[in-house]
Amino acid sequence: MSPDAPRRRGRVSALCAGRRDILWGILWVGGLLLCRFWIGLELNAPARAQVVDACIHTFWGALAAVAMALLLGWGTAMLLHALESGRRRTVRLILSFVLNLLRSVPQIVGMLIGYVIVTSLTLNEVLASEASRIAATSAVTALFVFQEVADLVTARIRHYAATEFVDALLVCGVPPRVIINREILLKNSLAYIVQKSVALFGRAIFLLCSIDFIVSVGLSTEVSLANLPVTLGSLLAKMDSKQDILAIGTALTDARVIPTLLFEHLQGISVAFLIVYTLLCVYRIAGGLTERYRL
Amino acid sequence: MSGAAFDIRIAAGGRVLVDTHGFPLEEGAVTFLFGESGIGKSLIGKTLFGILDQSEFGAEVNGEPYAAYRTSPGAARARAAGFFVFQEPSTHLNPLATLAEQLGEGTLRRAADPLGAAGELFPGGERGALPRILPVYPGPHRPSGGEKQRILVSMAFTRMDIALASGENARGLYVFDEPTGSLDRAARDRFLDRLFARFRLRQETILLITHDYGMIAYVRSRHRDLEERFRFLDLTVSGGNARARPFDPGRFLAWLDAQRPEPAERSHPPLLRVESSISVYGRTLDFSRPGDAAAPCTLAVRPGELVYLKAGSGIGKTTVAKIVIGLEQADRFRIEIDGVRLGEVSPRRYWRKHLWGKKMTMAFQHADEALNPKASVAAALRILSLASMRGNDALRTALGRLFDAAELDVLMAKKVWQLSGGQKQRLNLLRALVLGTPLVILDEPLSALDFESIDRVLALLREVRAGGRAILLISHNEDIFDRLVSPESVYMLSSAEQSAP
Repeated sequence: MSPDAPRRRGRVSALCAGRRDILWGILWVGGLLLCRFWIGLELNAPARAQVVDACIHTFWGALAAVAMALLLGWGTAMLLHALESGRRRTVRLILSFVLNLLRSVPQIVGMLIGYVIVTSLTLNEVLASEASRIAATSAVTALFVFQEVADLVTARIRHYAATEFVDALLVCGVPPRVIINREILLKNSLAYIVQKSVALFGRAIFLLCSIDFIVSVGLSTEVSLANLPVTLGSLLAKMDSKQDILAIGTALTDARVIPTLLFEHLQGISVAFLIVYTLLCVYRIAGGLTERYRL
Repeated sequence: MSGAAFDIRIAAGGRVLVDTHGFPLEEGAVTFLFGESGIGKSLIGKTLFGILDQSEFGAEVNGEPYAAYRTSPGAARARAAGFFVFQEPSTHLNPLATLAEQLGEGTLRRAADPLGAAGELFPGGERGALPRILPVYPGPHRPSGGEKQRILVSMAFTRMDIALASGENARGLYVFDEPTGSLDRAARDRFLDRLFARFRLRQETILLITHDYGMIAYVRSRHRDLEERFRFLDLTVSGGNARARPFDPGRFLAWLDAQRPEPAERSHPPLLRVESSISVYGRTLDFSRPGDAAAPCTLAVRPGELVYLKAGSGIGKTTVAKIVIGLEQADRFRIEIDGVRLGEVSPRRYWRKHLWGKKMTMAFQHADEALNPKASVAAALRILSLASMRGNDALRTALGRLFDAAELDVLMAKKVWQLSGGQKQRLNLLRALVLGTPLVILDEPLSALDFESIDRVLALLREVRAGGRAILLISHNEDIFDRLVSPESVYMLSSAEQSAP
């Protein structure tokens, strides 16, 4: 075997399997562009504008939810660590209890309650702009997913706290906050945090679409999403989209319907495609990152 | 093992790790291979012995694929008749079998007395340790590193005894990879004595990988009759590749002879006092003066003084250092730092707020673990936030104390994980020394270093002392530090089991 054999093997395996996250990222963007191109050709202008808006609102909402979850998770982990280091056991116990209480609430139920508050604030014109409403729904989502980030950050801090390089930096007088944020999180945990963010992005899209769909089909007469920004979930719940989705079922028994799916039922089909395809790609990207960085 | 010189090329992950031409390994001779850690000494040993991990590394020996060398009759014979002692005893020993079982495994089953060689390495007062550790399933911390290392070495000795008794024709290749890393000087010397006693009876091919240059002085003084059978090599990195060059032992001996202890500075009051009777992990640790072990005393370190704390392997030198620096909790201890008395009830935050990085710091034993592998060399020093470290020129000046000026630009951008073991150790030491704290604790500062680096580190320590700063030193390199440290600044550490209440 030549000394360079492992190198060649490494390159081949990297191309084939080591970078699945990038491959799925390219596939995702390609799929979105293809969908945009097709609805640009075949969908009428008002419906097309709705699909594009829904897509943008959903993705921005999910991104904002991830950003807020990261911030909340990091803050919570730092607070827990500070309480632990400062031996403030009672305060730490109370905080842990509150966090576990929040963790025990099913995400969907918690978000439904959050949506009631967002709708109420919208009807009272506290949330006047579209951006503020998206931010509010993102905050609700973040509130029910941020503990995953807190758990991750806490686990990384605990893992490295037992290592000698942390002790070595401490005895050199380096402040613990610098060690945690720069040396542990930034230099040694970035891959973990990016992977978690991608997974949370997928989770946020799933939750936003689910809640928007549930609320839009009419969970309660008290809650109205009339004034909330259109999202992929709420668009899917609209009558036109529902009929489009039903057409897929019809196509299973009547083959003549199949050619019409991508022309006459495009709104519902494209919305469903965007949700399912995005979720598939995002989870594949997260899985690829796990594989690539051996997380 | 037909050839006496080998061209060895080892690569991994697209990088050539070792590219050495004409590596001499003479049959029936003892080859000492020196050089700093992490530059490929072990890889060469494993390649020659035929146990290189082929899934991880690609290699060529004398221009032939490694598999061809490995299966060649000469190499296979030398391997079958030889033994490989791994550097890290924990990776060599099977945790699912007791040490007694492992001493009689495989080819060692043919030994008339499988425990005989082990007994030679646990003489006198230590003999009682052998019955205690033989039934043990080896783990990371049991038995101690020194005990495991002696057990491993004894396996190689047993293999030699079998060859001697059976009159095997084939000469075996014996590779000892850092066999004395966890041994104190007495245990190391005993190992060398027993090894060369066997060598006198049967000349096997021995490759002894080490960075303990102190061995040279010992073998020159005690085994001079074998000098013709000794070969000394130094592995150095040049142009990114490791190359073996002959090492002149006379150069080291002349250097060692030139080392003189600088008089200890005794006029100032002690900066650090550590009382005897430290109670930790069910043991009591005491300090004493060399030759007066019965009289416990207080360890005192004065400004400008280099204090050397000695003890056998596994006694608790590092534990004491960590108790003093405030990282390890003892059941009972009394120290006084700059006039402030501290003990087991003192809050940990006192060390953090008032001592760490201000009055004292410590360079840890294993540079590999003491540095953040993902940090760059520049970042490893910049994190100290020292005014004297602002700007690349200041960094270059600091690094230039222990690194070659020509390599600084490349070095500063390198990540710690890309450095050799010796480079990591120099960076580890430099980080502690540039802080400028009045007291520095150094745990095995010369481990993993080559001769040039040792010289540089000692020069830097002299400079630190000259600046009035105190150094508390823990090291196995007794050959060097016994010459450098004044006798009045040397302390012995002893340990005694506490009786059950």
